[in-house]
Amino acid sequence: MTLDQDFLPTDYFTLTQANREYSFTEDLIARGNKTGKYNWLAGLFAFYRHARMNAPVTFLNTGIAELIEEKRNQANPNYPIAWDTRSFQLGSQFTMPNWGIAFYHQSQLNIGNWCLTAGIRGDYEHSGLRFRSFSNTGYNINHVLSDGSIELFRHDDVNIDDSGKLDKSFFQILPKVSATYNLPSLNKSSIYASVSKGYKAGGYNTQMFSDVLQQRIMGMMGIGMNYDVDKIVGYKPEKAWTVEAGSHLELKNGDLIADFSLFYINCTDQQLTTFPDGTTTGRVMTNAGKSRSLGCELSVKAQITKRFGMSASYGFTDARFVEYNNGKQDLADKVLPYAPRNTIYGEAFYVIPVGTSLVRNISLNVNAKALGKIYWNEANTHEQNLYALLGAQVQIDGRHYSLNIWGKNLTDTGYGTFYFVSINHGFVQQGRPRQIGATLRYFF
Amino acid sequence: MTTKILSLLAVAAIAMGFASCSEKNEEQTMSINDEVLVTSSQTTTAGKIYLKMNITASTIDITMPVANGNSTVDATIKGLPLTFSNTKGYTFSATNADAVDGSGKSLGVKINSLNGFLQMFNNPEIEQNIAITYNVDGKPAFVTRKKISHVTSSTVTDFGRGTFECKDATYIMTLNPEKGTASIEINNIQFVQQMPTLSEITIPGATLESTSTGYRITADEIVPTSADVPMDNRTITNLDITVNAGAGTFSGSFNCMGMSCTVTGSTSLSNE
Repeated sequence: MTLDQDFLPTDYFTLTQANREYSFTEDLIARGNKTGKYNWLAGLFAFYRHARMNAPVTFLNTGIAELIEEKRNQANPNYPIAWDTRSFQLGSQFTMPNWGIAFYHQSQLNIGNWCLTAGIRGDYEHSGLRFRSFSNTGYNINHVLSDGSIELFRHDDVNIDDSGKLDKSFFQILPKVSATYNLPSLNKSSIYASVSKGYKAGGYNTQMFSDVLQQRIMGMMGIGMNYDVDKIVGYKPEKAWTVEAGSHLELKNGDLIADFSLFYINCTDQQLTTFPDGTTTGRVMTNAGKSRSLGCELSVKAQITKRFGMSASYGFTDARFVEYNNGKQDLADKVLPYAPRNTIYGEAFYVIPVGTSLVRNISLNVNAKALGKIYWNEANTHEQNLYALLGAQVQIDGRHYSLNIWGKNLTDTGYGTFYFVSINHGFVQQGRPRQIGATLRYFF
Repeated sequence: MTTKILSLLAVAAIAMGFASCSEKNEEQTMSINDEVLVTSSQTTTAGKIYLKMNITASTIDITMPVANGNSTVDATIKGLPLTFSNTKGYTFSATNADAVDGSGKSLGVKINSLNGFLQMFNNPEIEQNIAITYNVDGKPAFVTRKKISHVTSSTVTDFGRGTFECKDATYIMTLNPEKGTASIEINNIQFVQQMPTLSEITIPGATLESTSTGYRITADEIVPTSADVPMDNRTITNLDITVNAGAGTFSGSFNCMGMSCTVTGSTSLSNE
């Protein structure tokens, strides 16, 4: 795949990315006898993933002129440079062998109406990166004489071929405990509380290698930012403690189901996608100091008649940095990017039994979902307000088939789904417009 | 079976005990050979220094050229106490020291008020710093490397309508006392916010003088270079930098593009 990486009409640069990945996973689980008061399960999980990526960035005419020649010549106008060619490549090749192994165990004890659960997981992961960054190009350095004429001062070759090997290992013990109380007056209803530790392994940033190489070339000409490669290349694991309490209620013989939960998440070294300063194109996964999330979720499903039902859900999340200084700003108390504050969903459905040999029933569904506010960056300077999408579908079910005619975003609402920065320009990816389609399934 | 297992465990415990004892008895030492400049009576000559550090015992032996009358001799001073800090590196001092020759015989040279430091960096682009000041028979002298890397600095540029401070630059002074010249390589310098950061700009061929405490680097007008390309538009004028060898600091000023720059720096790493 070759991508216009500047997303502009002018020819700055393109990224070509070719990926080949192999992976193997295996999960072995053993369970105890489910009929007793004590139940258990234990397991062993392992994976191996091997990826090879070739991701050269090709600088084109405008990119060479504005990002290299112009910047260099502003610093030394009496000795301007002229690149040998109007396109050249910054080569990046990566081999990423990753593997991991985990053991886990869960014990469950049923005492009267109580169900007590304790579990533990030991997780080891090894992440490797073999990289090669290279470029072969060159430029003339000219000298502007006092009479305005130009003579060649010297020609410089740029021959870079750097390779290296990086390895990281991560090990975590992840405990969890929970207690569930089955409400004796209500069938299949309970309240619960749980505490657990979560974890995301660290890894390596590959996207910034072309920017590091570009800055190295600029550095050879005496200008440019020197990136701290150690900080840019890798990122640390993210660890979180989650406390949750809630209830599951089934009323009216299961015709009314309600779930409610409150949660609090305390996160250390939150992994965050950021876009470094300068005329870069890549993004970096970095770690914020500390963050916390608190919120609630509520869902209700009601089967009002045999054919007609409704469901609705609401989630609220307030996710903020507790400690995070990105070297330029103190971002404590800012809202975490990409975390929607409100998540709302509602639907109504009606089933029409037909009962013919061709059509068994027809289902009608109208739904709406709303998301927002979403902040796009850690400084909270760009945001997406709450937006709502309306959908509907008609499904015809037969004995061996189902035909679903659907519509999404029927009001053609405009909204953003992602924000990123490339060479100091901010871009928002627009969500899908109104869509109408059909899905046919045939069962053998 | 149980007896056999217990016996094996006992053997393992004893083996581990021996291993830990031998690790404790192993000394950590480090030796450094380097070329240096020796200045006394404000005359600078080239020489060699040999440092042998016993990290475990926190001591250092120094072999360096020491002025003895009108000549220099290689003198060894043994067993000075050694300390380490993250910002200054290894430091050592002695109020009075007995200088001996290679066979351990006293040279009869009275060395006192000796203070020195050795700094090594993880960055391969920054060479180590060594500096020692001392008195020989009451006369001050000092030793530095030919290249002194000041890794912490402040460059305040007065551009007329205000000032701009850059704290990211490193100043590397390369001294050539034989020719009486010095060059100053400045890395990662930004003079004003609107101008790009220069990853390297070098002031070549400034005048070098030795002083009683270090060096003075001056120039009326010099065209600096960047990547060995002259930068006429950034001609440096009125350069006057004073280096304090023992303290590992420098201060001074110069003009560039019509703006005056006041600079200070240190070989010590910043605490920030």
